[in-house]
Amino acid sequence: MKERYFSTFQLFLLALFAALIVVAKIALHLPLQLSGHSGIFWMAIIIVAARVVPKRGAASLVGLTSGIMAAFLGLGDLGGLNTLLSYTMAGIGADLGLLLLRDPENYACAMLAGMFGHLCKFIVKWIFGMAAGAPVGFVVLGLAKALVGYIVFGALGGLLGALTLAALRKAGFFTYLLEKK
Amino acid sequence: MNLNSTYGMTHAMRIIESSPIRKADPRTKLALCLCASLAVMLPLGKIIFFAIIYVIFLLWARLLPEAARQAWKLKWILGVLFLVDWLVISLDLAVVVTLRLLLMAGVFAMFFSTTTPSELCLALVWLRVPYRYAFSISLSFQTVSSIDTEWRGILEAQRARGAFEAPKGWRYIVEQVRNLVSLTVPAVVLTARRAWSMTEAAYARGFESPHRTAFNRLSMRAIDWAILAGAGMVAAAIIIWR
Amino acid sequence: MIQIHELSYAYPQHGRGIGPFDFSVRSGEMLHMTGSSGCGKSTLARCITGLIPHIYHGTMKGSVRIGGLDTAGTPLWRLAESAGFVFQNPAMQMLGNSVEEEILMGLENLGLGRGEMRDRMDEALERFGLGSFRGRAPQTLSGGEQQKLALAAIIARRPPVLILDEPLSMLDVTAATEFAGYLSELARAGTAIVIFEHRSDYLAGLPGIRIAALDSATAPERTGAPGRWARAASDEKRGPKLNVSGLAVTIGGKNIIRNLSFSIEPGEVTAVVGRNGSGKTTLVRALAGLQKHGGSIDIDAMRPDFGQVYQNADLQLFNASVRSEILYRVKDPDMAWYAWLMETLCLRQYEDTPPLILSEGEKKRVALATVLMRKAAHGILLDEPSLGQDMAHKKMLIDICRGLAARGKIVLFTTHELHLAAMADRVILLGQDGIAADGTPEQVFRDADAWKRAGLFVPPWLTETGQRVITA
Repeated sequence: MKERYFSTFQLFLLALFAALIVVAKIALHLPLQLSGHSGIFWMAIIIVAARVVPKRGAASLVGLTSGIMAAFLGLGDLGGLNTLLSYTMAGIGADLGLLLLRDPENYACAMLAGMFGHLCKFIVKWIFGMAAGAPVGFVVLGLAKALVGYIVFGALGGLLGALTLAALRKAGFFTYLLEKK
Repeated sequence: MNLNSTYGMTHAMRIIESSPIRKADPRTKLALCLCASLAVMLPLGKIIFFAIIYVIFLLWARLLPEAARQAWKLKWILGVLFLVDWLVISLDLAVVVTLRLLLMAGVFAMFFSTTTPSELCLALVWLRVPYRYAFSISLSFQTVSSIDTEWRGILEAQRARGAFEAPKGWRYIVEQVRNLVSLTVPAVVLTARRAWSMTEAAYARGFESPHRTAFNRLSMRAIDWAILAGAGMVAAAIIIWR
Repeated sequence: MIQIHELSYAYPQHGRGIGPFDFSVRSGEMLHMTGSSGCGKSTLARCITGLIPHIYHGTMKGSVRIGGLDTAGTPLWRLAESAGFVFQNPAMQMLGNSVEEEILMGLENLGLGRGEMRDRMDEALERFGLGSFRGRAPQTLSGGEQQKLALAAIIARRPPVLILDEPLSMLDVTAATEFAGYLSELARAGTAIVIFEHRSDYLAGLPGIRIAALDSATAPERTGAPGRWARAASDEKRGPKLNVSGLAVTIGGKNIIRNLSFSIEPGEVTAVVGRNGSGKTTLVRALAGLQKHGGSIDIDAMRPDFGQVYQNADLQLFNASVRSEILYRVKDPDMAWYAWLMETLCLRQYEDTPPLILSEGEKKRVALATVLMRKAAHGILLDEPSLGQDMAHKKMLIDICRGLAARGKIVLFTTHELHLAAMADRVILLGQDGIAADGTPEQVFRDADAWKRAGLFVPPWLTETGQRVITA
């Protein structure tokens, strides 16, 4: 069979991971009134996707697909375009982070990659604020508080991703994948 | 960590069938949205003119309630920004910033609330996105409800086993995150199984055949040309008007 | 049409595998392959369709030829034109956003013109009675309708060969009988059919069907020794009964359960049967306290405490070993009880094995053990516990249920497998307007009118086998 960059299984798996992100975003609310808390599951799933499909661009594709879905489902506050871009950037950020840090199963690497991915999403919001012409001081002040939340939950998401990968390895999930092309 | 589940998808896809632009080609809608999103760069006078035209268009397209729903989510940010800008800088800036944010929030609602995932898939293929990628995006939409059901099942099953009983508070945050593994591991495993079944099912129906022909095709109709002509006239008016 | 020569396959994980096999199937012939759970039926089905070796790692030896094409050397899209494949779980095979799209996907891949696609789609929808569902999302169809749609999507491509892997396992008696009828019709029209299926009774009477038992190259699962539970638990005293009164459940504006009233004595094994979509799972969820409902459910005027075993064992398994899975979050575990569970459920040899890599039957037993380890006060509820399992598993399951009942617990399970229901002490038949029949299996199976009202029927083979099970 013709060799492709992503096999069909990998492509479908990444698409379904994107759906999982959207479901996690909709179906679960942590009782935390802090910006970016949904990033825990979000970044965790992206980190897991990047390891389960160990190819550059896997996290970005999950980010893009989940962004398209979220925009269609009316998630996010700043409209479809912002939703699409911020979800996509979370994936691209995680991919870039893992390009440097490499191992998503390492707790520290996963936390940094999660944090970086989540920060990229934050940057999209910031750019949108700036593009709208809102006063710089106000934007910085308003988003500075959110920034802390994004960093913390991005890192926790990365940690959850690494813990999930460790548990999946122990549970024999990668043996299950061994048979599939 | 206390987890609350909403039983059932609260955000179902809302395709507004009654809108006259529902039948328009997705490429037309996409072009329109991209052009409209550029309008956020306009100065005060022109942006007010554009906003009026845009509201009239939404009214005609029966999309005003949907755009208003999007805008309502921004009520607090917009309110505070408007007041701060007005009090600290000027009313002009307050109006411009508010209008820009409103446009940014609402402009793509026109596309997303009148286009189905299958139509999006066709538009992506037209944009030279390989069919297998476009198809996988379409696939992700149709699995949302099944994955949601599974996710709630996992949550119930694990809650019954006391999986989320970690001490509350920030000091125990790592312990709480660790508990969430009971949720993410089954979710990942079930997702992988589903993806594999779908891969087999797709191959059973000849997926990746080089002879594929599409049943549904994109075609520009009168309404598409009318919308594009209207948009062109508005753009020309904005550019020419001093 | 199908020629298999010295076919064998070894899994990449552990080198074990299936085969060698030698057989052939002619046009218009129907071959029914039987075999115990885990004997390699699904693997063989994938070898025949060409999915192995194209999208599976592992080592395949020998050859499979379909319509003269060697599966190993022919691309999958080309093989799919010669051999259609329908498998166990219809919900996992749905790829379109609507019923029409589901059928069109396969036709588009044949490269047909639009007119021909439309004709074939209309014909398939008509033939399988799906015409009124055209625009509906496949996920909103019942299990039986989804399986028909999966078959329709393949049949519309008009493949000369059809391979089916446990297509009946998720269907109720009416849907399964109807499905078997379609297959017979297709065979008469010249399609070569190979069907891998546990539920042989539905196929036994079909004209011209050939039956072959698949010999296992892998070790079959061990099953529990009957009677152990009853002996271990006979000294338990019985508790108060479960009362359900005026139970009503509405989901998304649709009445799933209407005005259901019954009571269950401890020590009784109760089977709940009904059509796909009759509310069996909803009833279990309501009894477990997981579903908002009208009416009351109580034991001694208190909310009952049941352990629930889910249809899909994968929902709850995530630990690194069977031991840690069963003991997960159990406060002060009773290790004697644990040891007994391991022994009785035949899980001792897997104590250090990750649950996820066990077979479906073994996973179901681990899931059952995790629930039993928590010792719910009033008993257990099992949702379709025998799905896709062979008779040995079903017998083991009923044995465990009886053991628990003997301890004075309430045991209730839902099933569409009438064989299993016939082994219970009591059968509740759910119809559209509540309980259609309630009584001992003998009483319920004799009430043909009630089955008709429930949209089902008791097939003749069940009355014979069921009677045999009951009287034994």
